Amino acid sequence: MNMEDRLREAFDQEAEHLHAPSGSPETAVRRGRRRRASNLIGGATLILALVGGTAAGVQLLGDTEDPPEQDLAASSVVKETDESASEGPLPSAGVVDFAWERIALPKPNSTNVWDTQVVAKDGGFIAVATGWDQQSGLQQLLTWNSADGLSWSLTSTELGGERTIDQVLATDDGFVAVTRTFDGSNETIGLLTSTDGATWTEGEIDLGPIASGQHVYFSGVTASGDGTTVVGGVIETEPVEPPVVLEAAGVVLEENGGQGTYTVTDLETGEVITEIEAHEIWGGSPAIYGPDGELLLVVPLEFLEDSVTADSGLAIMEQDGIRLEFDFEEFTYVATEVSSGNVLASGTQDELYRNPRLRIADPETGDLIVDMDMDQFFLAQEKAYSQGNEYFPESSSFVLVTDDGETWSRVDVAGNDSQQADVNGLVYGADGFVLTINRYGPEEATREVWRSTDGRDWEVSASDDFRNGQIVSRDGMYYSLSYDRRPGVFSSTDGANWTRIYETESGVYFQALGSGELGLVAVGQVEDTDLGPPLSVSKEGRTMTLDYVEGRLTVTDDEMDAVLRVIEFDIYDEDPPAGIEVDEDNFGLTILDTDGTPLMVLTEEDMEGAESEREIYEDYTGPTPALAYSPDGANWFTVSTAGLDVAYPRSVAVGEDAVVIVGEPSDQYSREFGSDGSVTQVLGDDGVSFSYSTATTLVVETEAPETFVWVGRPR
Amino acid sequence: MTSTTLTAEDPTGEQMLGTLAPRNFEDFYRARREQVFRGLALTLRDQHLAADATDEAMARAYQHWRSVSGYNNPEGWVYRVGLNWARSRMRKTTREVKGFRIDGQAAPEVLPADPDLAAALAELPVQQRAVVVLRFYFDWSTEQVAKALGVPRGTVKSRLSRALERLETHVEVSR
Repeated sequence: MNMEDRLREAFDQEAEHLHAPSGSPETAVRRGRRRRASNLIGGATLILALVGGTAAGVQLLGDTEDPPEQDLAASSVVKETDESASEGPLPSAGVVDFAWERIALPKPNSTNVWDTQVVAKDGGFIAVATGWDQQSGLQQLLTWNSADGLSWSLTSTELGGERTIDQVLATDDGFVAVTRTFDGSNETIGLLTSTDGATWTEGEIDLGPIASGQHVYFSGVTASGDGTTVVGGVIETEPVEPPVVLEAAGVVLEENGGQGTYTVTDLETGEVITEIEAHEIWGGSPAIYGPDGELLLVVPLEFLEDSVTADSGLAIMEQDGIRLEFDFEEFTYVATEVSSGNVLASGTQDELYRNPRLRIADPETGDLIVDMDMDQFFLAQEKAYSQGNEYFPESSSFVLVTDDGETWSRVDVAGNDSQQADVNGLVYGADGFVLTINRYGPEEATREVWRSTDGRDWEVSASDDFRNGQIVSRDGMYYSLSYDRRPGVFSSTDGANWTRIYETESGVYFQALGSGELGLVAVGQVEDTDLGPPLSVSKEGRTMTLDYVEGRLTVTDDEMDAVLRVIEFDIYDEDPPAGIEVDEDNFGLTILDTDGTPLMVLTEEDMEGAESEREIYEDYTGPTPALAYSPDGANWFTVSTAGLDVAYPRSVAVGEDAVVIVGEPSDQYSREFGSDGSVTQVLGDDGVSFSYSTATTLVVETEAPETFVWVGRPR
Repeated sequence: MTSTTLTAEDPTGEQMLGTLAPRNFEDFYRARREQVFRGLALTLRDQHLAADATDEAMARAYQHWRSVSGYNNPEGWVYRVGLNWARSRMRKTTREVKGFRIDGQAAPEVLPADPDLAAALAELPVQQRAVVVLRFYFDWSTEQVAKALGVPRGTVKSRLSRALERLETHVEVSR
């Protein structure tokens, strides 16, 4: 066996034992949304596409004319800090010493816990979370009560069946749990409310029509006031496919908005010729066709399913005088005529699932107006996608509102059209509810501030480019975290006009903001950029510096110490930006001056050498917590974190004399590679944890990781 | 391999075709996550790291879905981001990670089907291993591998050539 076949065989055998741990797109979406917020921070971009990529990474450098989210965020800094910017940073007024204790919450050993939220209530604390019993596979709402933050008692509420908890949210008055139930074809969303976390009221939701191709997401924001509870959400609508122009046939195919049909129009006149079903393009049941596209055999699905589990990797069937051999190992098939033994058709398995040719007939004459090889059609479709830039999802925002926790109504909060909407702030204050929505694209990002006294009638009160995070209200004021190039805490009298009152140190990003009798507490972590230091190459008296964090390439003259060229880029783009030419054959790149003359010509060896140098300086210390405290909202102090081993805190409650934080333990986040025995690995920054053994086959252990809170008191 | 093309996850076979990759993130996630994980696990020889890297990359795919969904091969983009994330993560531990050898201890690696070959693979630089996995596990063409990794075709060919040469040498020596 040659090396290539040996590799294929080894990989296939190894892959059989590899199964990804459980995960869901919802988790990735939530995580991605948080990362998008982080991205707006600018310097804290967690993008790694270029790390270690050398010239490969440069291929990703992009067109700076694309909608730059970071630039928009940056402009918000200028705008919203016009007043404070001239005063310079607002640093900590000093350090307040807190004593921290880590407390393990009681729970069954087999229960994984995530989405923990904590609030201060009636002089004590309540924490709620989603629990998942690894043994039963069922989810449950978990509630812990504590008078002092140190001693906790657990109450659990079983959900049963296929119901899963999407998220658990805390309001000033209690808790809201969003659930989803999938019956195999339809998903039902449920809302449960509770004032004490122990007794939950089931609500009925009137979400209204949700069309095919639409998806409902909840943004993790909720607020209660004056007996009314409001939850924010987003409906995302999938984009329709771009029209596919089949020039040779003189027709255009346009998808009919998720209806499963396509309209065929005349390319020149625009007149509708006919409407066809999607399967007429893509094919329906798996089938075998002859050389002229004639149907030879419809392959029973049962046969294909059985072939997957065939021990020999070869499945054979006979039907209608045709013998079909399906090779599961090679994913090929051969159809032969039983009587003669002649091969009728052969190919790869995926060819079974598609039409051999695209054929569309004129409904009036019966003449074929389209008759083309599917590969030609795919090329036309690829061209359609490459030309279009507007085929993205659209998002609309809404709230669900209830007065009794039993009946929920959907109220659309319709602002500007947007590809992406994040309902990212919701609070009940002196003037009622304040709702903030960030909308992105296609060419700009805006924030809308909406107000409502009853949670039902909403009016937009401001539209700007300020980026707020979590908002709390206190003593007639609003306080918010913000994500921009200088993250910090802001205050506002109306929820629309914000003033910076605290600026974080470099690299600090706050995740949660809490307010209570003790004061205000912002909690987050010192973020590692993951992108490493800039890559630097010196050659022939000039130095090129690639700063992945800032997205900037700079060429300087070493002798004159003068900047010759600056090129901004987006590391997510596939194509190099203007000013950089990539030599695909030799893996080198040339940086051009503004007049097109070469400034630096770098080879693969140049780049890889520089990359090796860069890696030496990289050092990972893991995230460390960062806190700020204000007794009055005006004066802010840095909080000592000795003994606080939390990474990525997600919720904070402020009580009379103590602060309670929930998040991931640092030691679970920074697991050791190669440690023997059992290790606990935190897979998500939302606290989702799984525990594996280090055996060669992935095994989920029955004992789930512990869940902690951290309790801090000013010394 | 590429079993997903046979199952109900991809009954039309559309997802095997770059330009027909799912335009909806959820569909993409459900259809391709397992395969990306496997590819990363085979490359990194570490299931835990591969799981982390897959989830990180998927989150970033969602984060930039409006761009990523328009790429010819979103799966390749996710693989590349996951691989780079894992490499960065490994570097940050300031440990030498080269296949099985992590501080001289066995990593929670992939069960080797061909121990000699696995040992040889572990000696390859990760960039060469990535090319080998994409070429011989994903069965992607040189051009597809080049696009997925964001490198020129010539680089893929040279890395592949060097990798095969080293594998042949190592396996020969170990016999």
